[in-house]
Amino acid sequence: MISRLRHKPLGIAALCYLALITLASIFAPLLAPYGQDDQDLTHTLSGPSAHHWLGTGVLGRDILSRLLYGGRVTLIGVVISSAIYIAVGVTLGLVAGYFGGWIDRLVLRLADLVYAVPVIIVLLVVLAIFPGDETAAMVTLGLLAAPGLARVVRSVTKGLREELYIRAAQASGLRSWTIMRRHVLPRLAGTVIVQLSLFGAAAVLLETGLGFLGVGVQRATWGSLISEASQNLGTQPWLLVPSGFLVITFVLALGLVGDAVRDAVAERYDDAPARPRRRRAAAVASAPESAAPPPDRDALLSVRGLTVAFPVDGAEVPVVTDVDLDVMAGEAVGIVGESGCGKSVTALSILGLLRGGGRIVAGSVVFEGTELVGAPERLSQVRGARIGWISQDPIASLDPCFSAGSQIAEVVRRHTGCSRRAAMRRAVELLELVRLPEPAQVAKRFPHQLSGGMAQRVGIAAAIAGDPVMLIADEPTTALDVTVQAEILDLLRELQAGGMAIILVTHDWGVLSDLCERGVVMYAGQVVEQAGVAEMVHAPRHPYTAGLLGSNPVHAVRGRPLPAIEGVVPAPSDWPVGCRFQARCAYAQEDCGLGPVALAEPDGAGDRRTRCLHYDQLRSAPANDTELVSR
Amino acid sequence: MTAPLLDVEDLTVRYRGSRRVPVTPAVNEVDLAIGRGETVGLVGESGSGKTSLGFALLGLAPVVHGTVRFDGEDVTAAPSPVRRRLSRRMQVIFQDPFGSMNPTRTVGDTIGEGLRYGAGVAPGPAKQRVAEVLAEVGLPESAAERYPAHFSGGQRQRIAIARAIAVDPDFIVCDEAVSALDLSVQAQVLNLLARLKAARGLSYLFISHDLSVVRYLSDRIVVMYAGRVVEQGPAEVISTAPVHPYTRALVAAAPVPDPQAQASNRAARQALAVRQRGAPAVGCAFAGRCPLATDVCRTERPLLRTREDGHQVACHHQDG
Repeated sequence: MISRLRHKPLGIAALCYLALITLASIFAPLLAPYGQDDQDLTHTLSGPSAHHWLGTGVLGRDILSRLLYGGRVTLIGVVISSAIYIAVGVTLGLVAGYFGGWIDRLVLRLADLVYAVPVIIVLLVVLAIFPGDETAAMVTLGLLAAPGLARVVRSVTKGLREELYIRAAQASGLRSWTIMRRHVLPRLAGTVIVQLSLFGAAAVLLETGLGFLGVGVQRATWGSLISEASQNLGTQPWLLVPSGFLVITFVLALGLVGDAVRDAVAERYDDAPARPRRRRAAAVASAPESAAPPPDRDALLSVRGLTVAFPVDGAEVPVVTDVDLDVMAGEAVGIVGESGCGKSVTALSILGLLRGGGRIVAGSVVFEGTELVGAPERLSQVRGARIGWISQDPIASLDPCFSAGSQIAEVVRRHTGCSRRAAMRRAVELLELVRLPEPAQVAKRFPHQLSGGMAQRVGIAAAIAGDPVMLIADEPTTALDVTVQAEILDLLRELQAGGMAIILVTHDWGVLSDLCERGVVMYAGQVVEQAGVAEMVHAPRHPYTAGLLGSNPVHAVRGRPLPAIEGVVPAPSDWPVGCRFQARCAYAQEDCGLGPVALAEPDGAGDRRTRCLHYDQLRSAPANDTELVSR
Repeated sequence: MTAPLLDVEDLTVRYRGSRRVPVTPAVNEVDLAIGRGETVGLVGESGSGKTSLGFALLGLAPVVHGTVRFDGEDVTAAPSPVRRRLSRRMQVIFQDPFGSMNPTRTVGDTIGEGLRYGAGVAPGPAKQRVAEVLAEVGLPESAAERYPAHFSGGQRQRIAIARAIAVDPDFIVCDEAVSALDLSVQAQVLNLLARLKAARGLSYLFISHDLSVVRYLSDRIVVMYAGRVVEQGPAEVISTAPVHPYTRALVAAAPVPDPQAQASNRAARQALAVRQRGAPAVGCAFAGRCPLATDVCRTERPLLRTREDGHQVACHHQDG
């Protein structure tokens, strides 16, 4: 963790400052030029001088010395109150949040009760009973503040308690206190550190305040120095500068250290290990691949040489390279592949919806004859009006604050500029169009009142509200039950029958087969195969396609191992030279690694493309056992 | 046949609702038996109670009625010392490879936890065991020193499997254990599960919404709908010749990777489709969606009836 902190210069500086002040206070008797009560009546209320570096107060007491000695009192007070604060607050919060029930209610009521108590008055009472007893005051402060921490800890614990890994630990037979110690406490560290730094700052200020009120200890403290300064503000304004500066900077440093430590604690386990192989990825980006053919003038959408890059650690790493894709009017095209292959990024980039700093670095997207890349105005005209978007998570893609009907009406108004009432009427019509029963009722419902399937229908209604000619659907049925998935696919097919072109992003061969005529298989940011869906599933011409089809359990024979593709999709920074699938490919030969493989037409297969040098070997391999599939 | 390893009788699980809205049970009067070395698949849509049933076996869901027997011992409401002992024999693999591991603990720590704190194994032997199970699931020994964030979904699921087998259990609940994985990785993990089963004689309760995955791994399949078992039987029978209209709908809705077969499937499914109505208060919970529903379905709840070879169906119209 110390090594993590090293990357936070501000935090380190603040920590050093705190350490310096603490050490200086501890060794005050050695460092201070004068005793804390030594008087120099020849220099009273003076500014900085050679004798008194920070000046003197009333009776000529040396400010520097008094600050050093005062730090001991103030800091010990802060440490005592913080210890009480943490011990009581974390324990109460943890127990309340983890066990719930009556313990939880008891702690909450207690916290409410303590909240109602005015802290400063209680402290004054305590100091009236124990005059000048700093420890008593600070213990009281810690106790009074602890319920506040307990509330925060309780709510974080309650959330953590629902985490799957807590259940996993319970299933592993761990005792409750072991789970709290091992799984809950470490996750609380960040929250507690921030709360502690806030409390520490508040404690310093309160201690100062008590000194200012003159009810603290009668010795030198930061508070009594400020009090002294304020009483003599008229005669010697300088007096306030050293003590005020010290208190302000100390509080500030506490906050900075708190933030830095919190971040360092979180980074320890959040960071994926750095990938040092960016140089090779850059080489991939600059490698000239097959020269892109001109866009297809007959196509509704024609993508050529599309390359998308995302910033990673300051460098731009391409995640999708050289994608060509044509979609005819009314055609349904599926993009298939595993996660991390760039299929969603490809779909998103068509609409210019890339997040996280991603951008198109090369290529063109021609839609209805006009270029969309580098034409944000044209793109915003096309979005919604000509191309609709359907997302993967139907409920999350709706705004929870507005009813389903009003969200669709908003889209209608954006595209037609009609009246509110007309837009609402149209919204209900659209809901009927997507086959929702009782559309008028559904229009009044809020997203949380919709089932997943209903929400996806609402999402589709919103997508077609602008009367587009093409829909891009990113895994539209992945979050749904199979029976609901089938209904959503039926709806999409109906829309397509009405002339809508569809780009479907999916990982499911069944969904692809259901809806699409043509399939595009992506692997590691490239198109590796393109063909009619029927030809593709029966006679794949790329080993990845064949492997992916083979590992589908639909084909599996019980009791026999599934023909899995070993290994994983390489990350963009780990793409090899040449074929990106070679490391996992059973047909790979030496020439696969020599240079980029072009997307080419396999012999005698007019409309197909494959990015494989040895596709002909697949032909002799046994085809997929489709008898199992068709019942 | 000897006594089953796991025997669930008349199990009802109900979560606490608010005072005004009583909740219908998540699991309702379910009987289930799993033999030694047997894999039982549990399918159903979201909300069918399949996960709640799995949780109830592990003591993680509130059982209001019925019994769970493990190896002859009643463990329905086992107190925590008994649970701790049981956890050496019953384990779980969750769906979410990201949520099921504490991000602040190293992988070795996570895998060894059940050994160290559940089974009370000393640190040295526990570390040795962690290395063994990591090798068994196909991960390098060095993985133990790293954090979950450094692994992909598939690797994390291997880690979750390693954690489950570390204590050398007899029975593992796999709750959607491969659902979040990509096809090629899913196949790897399914193979791993099948290999472990063969090597260790494990029993699985394999919970999934994906019938093709369940069919591949299971000996027997149990279909749940609205908290009840509506059909159960040998895996091949359920997946190729289902009887209950809900199972038939489920099988027909699962898309197959072949446009032609899919088109005929679709036609069959659309012939089955009915306009949805609410489920009746009494009678069959599926009646509102069922193409075969008649008056009797709305007044009388169908009971599970044995057909042949342990094939059971709960439907009034299963014969015609």
